[in-house]
Amino acid sequence: MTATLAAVRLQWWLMRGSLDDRQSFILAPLFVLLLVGAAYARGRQDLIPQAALGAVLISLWNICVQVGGGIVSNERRFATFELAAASPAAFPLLVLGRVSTVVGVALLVIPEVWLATLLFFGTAVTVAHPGLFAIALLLTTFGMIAVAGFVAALFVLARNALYLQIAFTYPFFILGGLVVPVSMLPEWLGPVSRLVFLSWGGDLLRASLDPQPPAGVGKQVTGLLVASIVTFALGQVLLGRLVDRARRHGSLGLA
Amino acid sequence: MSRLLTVVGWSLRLGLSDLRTVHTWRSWVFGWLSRVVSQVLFFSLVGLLFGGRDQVQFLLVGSAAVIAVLECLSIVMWAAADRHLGTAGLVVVSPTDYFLAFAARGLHTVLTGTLSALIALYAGAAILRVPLHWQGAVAAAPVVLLGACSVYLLAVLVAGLVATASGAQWLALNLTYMLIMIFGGFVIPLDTWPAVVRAIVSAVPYTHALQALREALATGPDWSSVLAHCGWEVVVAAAWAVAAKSAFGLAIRHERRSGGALLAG
Repeated sequence: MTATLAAVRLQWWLMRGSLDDRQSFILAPLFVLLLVGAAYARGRQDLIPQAALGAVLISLWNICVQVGGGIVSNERRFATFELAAASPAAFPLLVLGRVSTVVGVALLVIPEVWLATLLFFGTAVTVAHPGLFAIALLLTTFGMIAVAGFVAALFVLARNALYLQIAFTYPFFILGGLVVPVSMLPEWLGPVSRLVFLSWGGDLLRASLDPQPPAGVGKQVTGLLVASIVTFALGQVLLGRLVDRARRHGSLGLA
Repeated sequence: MSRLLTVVGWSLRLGLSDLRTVHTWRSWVFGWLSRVVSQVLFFSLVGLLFGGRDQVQFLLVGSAAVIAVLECLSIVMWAAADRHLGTAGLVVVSPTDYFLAFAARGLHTVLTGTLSALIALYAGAAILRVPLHWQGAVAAAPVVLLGACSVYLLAVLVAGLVATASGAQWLALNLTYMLIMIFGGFVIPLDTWPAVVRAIVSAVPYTHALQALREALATGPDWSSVLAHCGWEVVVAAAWAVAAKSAFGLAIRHERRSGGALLAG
């Protein structure tokens, strides 16, 4: 617990000092202009909440993948990975503390996007089902933590991280149904997209904004939980293996 | 003239070797191209959600064309890299024009950006079954190339402005890209903006080329209108070339006077 809290403090301190880490907060209102503006320009005021939610999810995803995903590779680059691996604290727990901080801070885009939508388009997005919204947000936050931990390990283990860093953007915006619901995608993409936790989380969050009574909540909550837990477990296993592999291959060094 | 060509030639070779440090052909094809095609599909699906088939074509063309903006803007990162590596100072003190050397160094992004945008356009159209007539599809290549050249000059200007602003390059790149995407008519139709915004946007690179591209791809295109838009794009590009050269000149003069970071590395 102490180690995880130390990791939380470290990440908070790092994010305060890095403009690159905070740039998504500057870009979030621009995503509002882009997506909500696209709906507004076409007279589709009914889709403004959905577009604003899309801006939130894209910003959240970008912060998780870019900042969270870079945690372990930066540790390696600055040779602090060795110190973390040599310490008695479990490495996956340290990363968990750090990605949780990233995701926690990233949640600030929600009020930011809400305010930007109000300021730019005069629309105050209302949450029709607050209880469902709270549950969906809580589970989506867990999913984001899981994905950030998973990609943090993946970007180091992969032979060519560039492929992955590039791939973890628009393909996932489609598969995760960040703006366009998965139900509008071709049928054959359905099973693939359901592996991405956001395809469930996005549906749940959209349902919580829609005044219509939500349907199939149980199935969506289960789907979101299962997809997030699987991603989380994979991430923790990969992070553990990362340290084991470095020790076995003798690739740790403080020379 | 031959001296100028030598500088341009070497800068281009340097730029291409920079490109090879970022991408292999495999990462470009499987990583980058799959990403740009996904971007086009994402926005086209948004079109389907917001407005139906005609909006799919609108967003397909816009989101494919904007890929060239993104690639051209990548040179903003190289100005900072030049400073960190200490090579900027060496070029500044050499008996050649730093602006020319720097501007030529990223010219490959104009070509790769055009290529990516065209592949995204054709692939997106094929996947989404958006009909593109062959004359429009052929005309798209020079029109996108013109837009990319024009926006490249803006990218050089941005690079000059933020070369010494430590850690701000990535943000400057993304901000410029997003603002062009939002206000340039790529995703949101130009005629839905107020007249003041439209007037400002008419001086932004690529917006006229984009209108030419949309016209060229329309059913029964008015080719004289396509040419007129291209003509305006050339005028805008010339203005940005002057602005970019002046910005670089000022930045270097300022750095020389203050013994600043651009020269110190």
